[in-house]
Amino acid sequence: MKKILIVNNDPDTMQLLENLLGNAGFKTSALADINKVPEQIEQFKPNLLLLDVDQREIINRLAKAAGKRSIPVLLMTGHPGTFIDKQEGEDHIIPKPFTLQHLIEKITAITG
Amino acid sequence: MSKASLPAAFPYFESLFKNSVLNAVMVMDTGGTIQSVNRAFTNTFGYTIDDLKNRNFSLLFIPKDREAGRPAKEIAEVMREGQADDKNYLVKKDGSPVWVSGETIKVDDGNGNLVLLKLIQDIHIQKEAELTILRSNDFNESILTSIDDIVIVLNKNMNIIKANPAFYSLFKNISPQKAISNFANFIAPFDKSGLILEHINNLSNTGKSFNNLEIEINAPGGERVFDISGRTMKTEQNQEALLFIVHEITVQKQLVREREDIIGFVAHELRNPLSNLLLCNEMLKQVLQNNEPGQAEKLMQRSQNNIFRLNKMIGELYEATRISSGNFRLEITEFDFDEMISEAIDTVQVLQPAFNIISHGKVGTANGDRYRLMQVVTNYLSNGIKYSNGHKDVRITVQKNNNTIIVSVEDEGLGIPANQLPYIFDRFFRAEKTKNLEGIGLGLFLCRRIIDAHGGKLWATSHEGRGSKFFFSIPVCLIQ
Repeated sequence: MKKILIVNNDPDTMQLLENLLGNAGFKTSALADINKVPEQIEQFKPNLLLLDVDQREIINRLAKAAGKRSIPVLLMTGHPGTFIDKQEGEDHIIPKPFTLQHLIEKITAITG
Repeated sequence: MSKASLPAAFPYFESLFKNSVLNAVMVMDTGGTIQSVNRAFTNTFGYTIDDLKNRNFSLLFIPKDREAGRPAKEIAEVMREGQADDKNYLVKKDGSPVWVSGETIKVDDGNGNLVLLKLIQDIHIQKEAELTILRSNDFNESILTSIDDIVIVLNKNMNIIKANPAFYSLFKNISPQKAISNFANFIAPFDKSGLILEHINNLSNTGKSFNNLEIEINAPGGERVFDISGRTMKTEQNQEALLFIVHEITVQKQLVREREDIIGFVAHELRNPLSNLLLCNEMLKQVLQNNEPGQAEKLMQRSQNNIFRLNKMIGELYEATRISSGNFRLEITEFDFDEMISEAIDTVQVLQPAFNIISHGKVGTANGDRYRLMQVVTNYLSNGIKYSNGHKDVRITVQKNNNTIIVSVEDEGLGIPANQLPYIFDRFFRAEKTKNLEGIGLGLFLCRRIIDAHGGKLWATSHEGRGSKFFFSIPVCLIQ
């Protein structure tokens, strides 16, 4: 079972994603505060980090701490320039709003 | 023309008098009394000999010259020197002045009588043309001086032939007196992209003009963006020269960038509740399949909340656009400030009955835009409640100090980190921890605009984890 760490500071989004991905057969953990991400990675050992683009600074922090990127990241963004899935460096990007099916396909493709 | 007054010369003058169609000629006696005029004179001035016979020629002068005694001086000079010439205005029969070049000579009429011949050339057209050039030079010069656009003219050797004051005010360290021997060398260190030199050289070599070249200049005092057009021209001496017109677009560029940022931000924010709606629908599908009507109802409530959240963001955006635009005007009236505060409290209390809004102080009447000030108060109160973090008390205090009304709203909630406190009244600011709460981050920005328009002040103090206190002050008597 793939493990997904959901980080989102919108409690509604966070809770919905947690429930829906849980129902879809993923093991999930969710938190709002990016400062708690490193600790939770240690404990939960996720296969994927599902982040809002506003919180992308944590990616750099993690990379700095680890020396290299260890966990794949999927960024959700509502930026007007982003209409389609894309990849920026090692980050995978999914534009908002997205359907559950689309999100699951994307996660499956990344986590393998 | 001969200065001699030889009788033998008279037939020449007589012939000139009779036959010239270009030169107006007038004959007068040595006292300036007109004897006759020729046809050219009548053509130029409109006067016939009947109009002028036996009248003094001073009537042809403009009043200013007449008062200055010019007719008499002219006679005196010609009597003394035999000849006098001058350029001056003479007045036509219809009253209009004509600029003329005149020469008066003293001749013997062959009968031993001295007469004065005044030969007049109408050089009015030349004079007008000259004046027009002078006037248009002045005009061009004053345009160049007063415009903010920079105008530079270079010769083929890249020397500045002309640069207007706008140029010297951009580069404050150089003065018009201090010659810039080579403009290309001068501009190189400021030319961030190297584009200016490239275009100047290209223009100089090929003569092909360019328009609206956007360049960044490391000007003294910071980077600025300009739009440059360049073309070749001819100087007054018919020399090849390069003309550059430089228009600053730094502010426009910033505004465009800012607008793009704002649109990006807004789109991103608006898509959050939209995403939630979509996810709510997915959830709803699942709970309906599992036949859990209680869950379905909760999810529909959540959908509704997200719709309200979207709507509130759109409302804030609209208000912010209105208030930020030049159309924002306060409607100043005298009103009961305490009553306004009570109304604001009621408005917020109705929506949030679980909270205690505790009010202190009274100030009486005030001047201002009651509706807008109430917006500020309700915004402060709503924030106090929104960020209460479970604490139920919000305190509002009003007081009057000399001519200032001060309002403060204090909560015992989340508080704001010290490093974020200076930015809370900025557009789209929201403290990191409060992002999830409704609104798009324009509430306090709107408050700032409203209080600024009242000539007042806003500020806040906060202890993270212990609460915040928001203040605003406005003058009691508003001078509009």
